[in-house]
Amino acid sequence: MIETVFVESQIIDHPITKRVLSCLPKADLLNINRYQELFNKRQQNFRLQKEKPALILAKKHDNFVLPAPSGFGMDSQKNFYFSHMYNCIYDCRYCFLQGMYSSANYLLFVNFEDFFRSISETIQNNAGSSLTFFSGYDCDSLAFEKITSFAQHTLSFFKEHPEVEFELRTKSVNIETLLNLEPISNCVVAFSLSPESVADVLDKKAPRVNKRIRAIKKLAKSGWLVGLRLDPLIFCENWRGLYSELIEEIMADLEITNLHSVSFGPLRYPKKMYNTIAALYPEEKLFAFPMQTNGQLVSYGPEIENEMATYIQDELKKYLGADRIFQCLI
Amino acid sequence: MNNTNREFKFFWVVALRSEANALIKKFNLKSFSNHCNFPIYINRKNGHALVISGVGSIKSAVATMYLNKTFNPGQVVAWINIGIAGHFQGPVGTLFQVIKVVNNDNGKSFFPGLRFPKLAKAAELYTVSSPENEFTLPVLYDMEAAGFCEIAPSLSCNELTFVLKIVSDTSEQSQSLITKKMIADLFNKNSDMIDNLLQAVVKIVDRERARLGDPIEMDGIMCSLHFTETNRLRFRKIYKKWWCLFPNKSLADRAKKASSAHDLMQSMELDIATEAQTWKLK
Repeated sequence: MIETVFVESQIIDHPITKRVLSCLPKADLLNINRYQELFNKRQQNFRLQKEKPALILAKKHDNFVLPAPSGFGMDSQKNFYFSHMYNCIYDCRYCFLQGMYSSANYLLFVNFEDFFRSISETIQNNAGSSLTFFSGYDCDSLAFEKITSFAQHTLSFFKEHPEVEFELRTKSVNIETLLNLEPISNCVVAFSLSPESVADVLDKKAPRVNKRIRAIKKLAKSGWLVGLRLDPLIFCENWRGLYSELIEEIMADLEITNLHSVSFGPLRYPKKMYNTIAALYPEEKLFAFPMQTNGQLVSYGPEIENEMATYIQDELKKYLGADRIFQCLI
Repeated sequence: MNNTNREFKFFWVVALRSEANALIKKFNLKSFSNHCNFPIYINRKNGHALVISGVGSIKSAVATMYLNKTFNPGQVVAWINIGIAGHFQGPVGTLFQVIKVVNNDNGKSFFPGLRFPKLAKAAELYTVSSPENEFTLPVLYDMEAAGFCEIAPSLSCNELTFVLKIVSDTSEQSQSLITKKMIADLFNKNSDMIDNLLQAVVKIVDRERARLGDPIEMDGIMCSLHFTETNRLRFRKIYKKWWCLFPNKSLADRAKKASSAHDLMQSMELDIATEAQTWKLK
């Protein structure tokens, strides 16, 4: 429940602003000049702010489309990502967003049209290359759909650009928008998943895994390409059994022809980010694990990482070819 | 180890003696000092400390720093600026939680406090350098909050910095009508609301102290063994992990038997590594 909304004066009349505000009639509304006045300022307490995040509606002025970090995508030549929103309504304990900004407030950029213009330019500038655009790196792509209609706008845009691929990454089961649309052949709806008992502990405020699996199967059955993102892989007692069960449960009755790809990746953080997040949650067992530091990277270490990667890969190969299985390494 | 004073949970910064009197009475505060024209009142039992800043943004900022310097309360305390304010509309007597403060002199804005929508209405406030009579904007007007907000978040955090204002005058009801008795009445009228807000705030303060504080036995252990400065930091890190995994175990006995700080830390790391073999997430 959003109780406070800050709106940049310059976008108060933007159609998306009006739509969002109409969905939040009871929220306190305050005007601001620029979102930087209150977003990501020093002396903010992320953890307290996360209890009652405000929504900031703003206009983004530049850097609409950015190259994805290497190791992020599947097999495209070039990967890009764009973020119409910073921060997420879910509170997954491993999420890097906790260490990314000092603010937990949700920052929504309402000028979707400028994102689309910039994506069009990127497509033109990279004509001839296979491109994938990702959404859902700094937020969840679908979780706010009822308020923002972001996915609806974005899917309409990419429908007109069949030469590129678009991945909408989410944990949300808010799939009505998608089910009401004809499937778009160059759009992939990718779900992040962990074994149920892992998600019950770590994926706070996110939909339960069985609901996510139901949503995946519904979408695949209705013709949408779906992706599975087993990322990050979480090490725990009986992880083999848990991941085998998860994969088995997903694959049962899944319209496998509409499974675009499965990727998996280790739990890794830049050292500074890990320290920030661990300090936020000293009571969290995830951060009490004896992680290994290699240079500026904190992880479970190569032994556990490799063991998990090999096992997951072997499990997945029982159901689909290696050409649809990818290991992410960022 | 630090010398943080954890007796206090609420640090009040008020401009006027008549505003302070209402709180002094309410929280049974006693005079602590009266230096530098910043009288301080405290009650160690209920955790309140108050400074009277005088009128104006700069005085409010300086008084905030002065109160902090006097008690060194650490980062997990609530800083509250409360006082009367003008409002374009009123009604007089309404208490607002200010969620945006604008310094009218330089346009700088602040966004203090976790919001409590069920307990108080939200408002924007302009801090002006001379009394406001025009009320041209649909906001509150005071003469201190911007100075307070410039300093208080850096002493604690933005989410534990609160600005509460009670409407004392409007375009219809001139500030010339404000008397000491009226201020006392305005505070009395809002006494329950202030209590409710404090109850909400103290829960956050207590939770944050539990989260950020060191385990009780840690200081004792660090006194009983020789730790270099580097090892102190390392021990604190290891101990927090160890404590997270073994919240019901005590380390004190083992520390007594340990031949050195290094030995102790090594045994703790071994505990953690052993636990990692069968890692449970809960």
